[in-house]
Amino acid sequence: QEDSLKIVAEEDTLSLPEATKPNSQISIGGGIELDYANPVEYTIGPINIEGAEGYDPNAIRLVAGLRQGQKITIPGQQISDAISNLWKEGLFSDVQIFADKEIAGVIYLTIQVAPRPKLSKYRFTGINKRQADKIREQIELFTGKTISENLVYKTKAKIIGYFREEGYSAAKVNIKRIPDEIMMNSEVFLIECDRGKKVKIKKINIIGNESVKSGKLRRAMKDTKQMAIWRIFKSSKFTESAYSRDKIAMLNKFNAVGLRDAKIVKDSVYMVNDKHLMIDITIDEGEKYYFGDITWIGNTKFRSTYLDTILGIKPGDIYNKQLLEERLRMSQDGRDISSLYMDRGYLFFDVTPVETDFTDNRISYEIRIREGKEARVGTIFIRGNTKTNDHVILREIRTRPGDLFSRNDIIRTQRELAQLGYFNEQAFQVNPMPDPQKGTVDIEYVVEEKSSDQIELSGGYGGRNLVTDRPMVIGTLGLTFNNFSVRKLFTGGAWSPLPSGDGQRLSLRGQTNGKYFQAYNFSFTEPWLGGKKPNSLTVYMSHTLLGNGYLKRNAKYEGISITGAGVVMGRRKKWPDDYFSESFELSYQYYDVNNYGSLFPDLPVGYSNDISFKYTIQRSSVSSPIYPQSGSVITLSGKTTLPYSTWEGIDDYSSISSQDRFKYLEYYKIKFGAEWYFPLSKDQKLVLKTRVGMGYMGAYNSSKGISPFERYYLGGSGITGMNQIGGREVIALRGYDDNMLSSSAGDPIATKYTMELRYPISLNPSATFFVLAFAEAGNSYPSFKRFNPLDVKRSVGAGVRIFLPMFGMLGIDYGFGFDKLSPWASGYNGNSDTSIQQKGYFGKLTFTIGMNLGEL
Amino acid sequence: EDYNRKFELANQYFDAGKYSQSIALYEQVYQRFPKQSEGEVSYFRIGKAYYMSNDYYMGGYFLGQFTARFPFSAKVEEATFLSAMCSVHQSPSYSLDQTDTELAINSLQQFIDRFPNSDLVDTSNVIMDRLRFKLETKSFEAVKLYARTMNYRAAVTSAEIFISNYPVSTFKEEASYLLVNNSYLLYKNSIESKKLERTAQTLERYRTFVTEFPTSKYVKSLKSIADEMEKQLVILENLEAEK
Repeated sequence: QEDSLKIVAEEDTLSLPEATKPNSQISIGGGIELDYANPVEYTIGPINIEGAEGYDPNAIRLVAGLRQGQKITIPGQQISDAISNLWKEGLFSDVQIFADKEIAGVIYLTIQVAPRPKLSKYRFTGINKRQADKIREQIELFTGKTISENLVYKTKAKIIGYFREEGYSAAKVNIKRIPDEIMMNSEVFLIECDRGKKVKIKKINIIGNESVKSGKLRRAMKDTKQMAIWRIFKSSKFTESAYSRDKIAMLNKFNAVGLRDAKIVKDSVYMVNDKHLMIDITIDEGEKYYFGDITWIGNTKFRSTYLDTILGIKPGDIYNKQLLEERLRMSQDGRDISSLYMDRGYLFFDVTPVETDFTDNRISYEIRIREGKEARVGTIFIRGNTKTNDHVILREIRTRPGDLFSRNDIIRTQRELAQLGYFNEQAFQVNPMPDPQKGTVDIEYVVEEKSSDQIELSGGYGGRNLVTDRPMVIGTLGLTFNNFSVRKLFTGGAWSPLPSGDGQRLSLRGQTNGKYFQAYNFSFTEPWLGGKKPNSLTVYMSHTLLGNGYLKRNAKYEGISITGAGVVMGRRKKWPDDYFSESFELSYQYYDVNNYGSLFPDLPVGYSNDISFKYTIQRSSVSSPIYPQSGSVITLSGKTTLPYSTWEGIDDYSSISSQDRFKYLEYYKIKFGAEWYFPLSKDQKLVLKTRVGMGYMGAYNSSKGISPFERYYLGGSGITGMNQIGGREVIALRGYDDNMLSSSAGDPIATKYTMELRYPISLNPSATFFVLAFAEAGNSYPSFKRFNPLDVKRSVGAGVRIFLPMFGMLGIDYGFGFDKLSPWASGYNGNSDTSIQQKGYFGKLTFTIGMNLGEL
Repeated sequence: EDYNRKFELANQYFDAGKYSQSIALYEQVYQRFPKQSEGEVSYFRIGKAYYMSNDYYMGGYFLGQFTARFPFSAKVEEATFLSAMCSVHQSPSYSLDQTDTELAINSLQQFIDRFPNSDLVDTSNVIMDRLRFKLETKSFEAVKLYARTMNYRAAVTSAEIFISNYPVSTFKEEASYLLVNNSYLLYKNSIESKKLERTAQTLERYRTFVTEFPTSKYVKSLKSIADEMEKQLVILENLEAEK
């Protein structure tokens, strides 16, 4: 009895050849007697595939999971699996498996499939190319896609949905399926679109609102707007999805004023003509609610009164659920209860507000806090460093194993890793991986290496050789490797293209136009000398030669050569706070002047030794080195030589030759500079930069006077290079000619104020690009008597900056100067003065290369 | 277009070690006979040629694809192994991102799981040990860095994590030494209220060290630390008792 029942049950799924159903599954024939009660094991013989034109037969056998030589039980699971596997591919509209014959336990199978038609191409009618392209992005149709009824239906629905979102509420779409004559078993879709007319919202009527003005409610509806003349950027189209979102946004406005029962009792959307519709919304405001008592439970780390202050909600305040949530969990200004705990290591902290009392429309809360364990940092993982070695990154990371977890430390780390300049700032990721069981949190820092090397290769044509009266060619080759590794210099395979990854900086630069001007620089920095502490060591050497074009042995030769070397030790400080750093520099320069009275009237012929010591202290908290969005940099530096005059015993140096007077240079120099960055817009992109700078060089002995070198030259682009000759401090002041604000021999005092409004067009690290508008003022003064910080020359203008990793910062500014120059200035009564006298302004285009060159 | 000729030529180039020429030809042959045995051989040899010419990125791709496209091929074992070897070759120095190393260990493990009787299992095990040693070294270098940069607590914590992650490491003696030493230095730089607890911890860590490494060259220097700690412990405990 039971056996026969089983057979009937099986026959529903398996059918015999003479009764092939559509989509039938298996037919066993060829004279094989099947006894469903007694499955028999066979060996599979050759498998024949039928009806699968355009498909690889082997692939079908593979998908079916049937292989020649395999053992198979019939009836059994393998055949059913084979069929369902083939079905799952979605390529066939019919799948059948036959047994052709059976010889000595070997069964010959045939898999017969009917492939589904494929899409050969599709095209649109009724819409233009641009719209068609947009729709193409939304629908997932491609040549070779298998066609099913569902696909046609889904595609149609997607296109209609697209039109609705665009405001065409009455759009109609029809998909015509045409068999393709060229390709077998494939179809062409002809998608006929009729968008109908665009429907706009004529008016949104809101009824029943008393506490909130209708205008405010309409503004709360972000994507559902009524028609207005000033609505240029946002269309007043109607879409169902935006409307339901906006209704919720609108109701939130009521919740914010304590009307937490407010609801929409009725809303209707109706057409007034074939292009316009109206929306009527009727609101029931309900009753007004207030906060009642707020009690804290579970807080051991902070007192309830302190938590009250942070929460900032008093009993009797208008009820606002959203505000409460914000204050507990996520506040824009970071002053919320969760941040309070999270910043102190309570990573597993949890807070739940529970309504406890509800009388006279006053809602009392009990806020339950689960402080949890203080989380300690476990392992630090670094990912994505394909070039920079672990230790270079790990030594900068402030979240160290065993420390309490602190969000602030992570933010600092992120900022400081950015400052290394090796990584893409936009691609940083920090993934804390907490383990509540152990109370630890592993932190994974994901970085993305970027090229930090810079190359400068330029050739130019400019100036005139005084001797040959021909224009001169000037060539520059500069290489800066910011992530160099000396250790790997002699390691095979490390040269790809250069040994890198130890965070050392190597810079080589040469600039020449032959006999006229030559400059060579070399510098090397190890940021963590000895690997123990962030004490950096820099050594540098330079040699510069400037002449009038004659060879040195020619009697007409005029020129100067400067050779120098120095050592700088830098260290980060922990006090007053750890944004401070200081540096000590010892340097030696040898000046050799040959008949160069035009540049150095104080020492036309002779040589000079400058042995100086310099101390710099700086506090820098800028958010990023290339485009700072907040923070400040304040620098104070003092530089001095030995006061030789105090023991030389000479009272009056006027009788001494200039060679003897300047044999050992004697001066001191004090410089102060401070700049701040203020983000002005919410997204922190629009930034105001303000900067103040002052410099002073003094003499230890007024009779001996100050050095003829090292003086300030103000005006123009501040581009160094040829201008910088003779230890000059070249300072930019846009809107005036180069160096023209200072005496021709340079001035010992200078001051400059700058305000710059910056906006980034692209913060992409491979090409950071921003525009700026500036207003600045500055001047230099030949003596302390003439010094007046308010006697400055003003200018305004605008410019652009682009930072390319390979080339550094490049910029162009156009500035207008407005003030006539001081009587001691080399440009007094010159170009700019004439222009200002005639037109009231002087226009000047300036180029900038480098980040902070030419600043006081 | 005589593809048989091309196939022969490709084989000649391949045997002669002219891999880039053979790749170009094998690619054409594979396009022509994607399902035949020539296609199978071509596809395998494209991957192997890339592997032999040290292009492990492309090699890894083709060899990995080969096992998926020709799952019943006799070459699957070799392809699986070589594809894992591509990951091995791409594994960088321990001081860089080790994602490729982890990938290589996983691929080799999968190879061993799939071909447990392969002649290459021993080789694979040796290579896997070498790769794991990289991860171990990376972890230990972090401990050393924290010790060197005088982040005592970080050195202690990371040494403890290291010892628990790699209980049979060759670096264990040194890591244990750093643990005791930094534990002591942490005590030295502690505020008074934490000193008692940290003295006890240092002593406990010292005892663990001498039990495990009684003949270590570090024992002598640690012994003097331990002596100092013993004395301190008495003093601090008395102070505690007075309170």
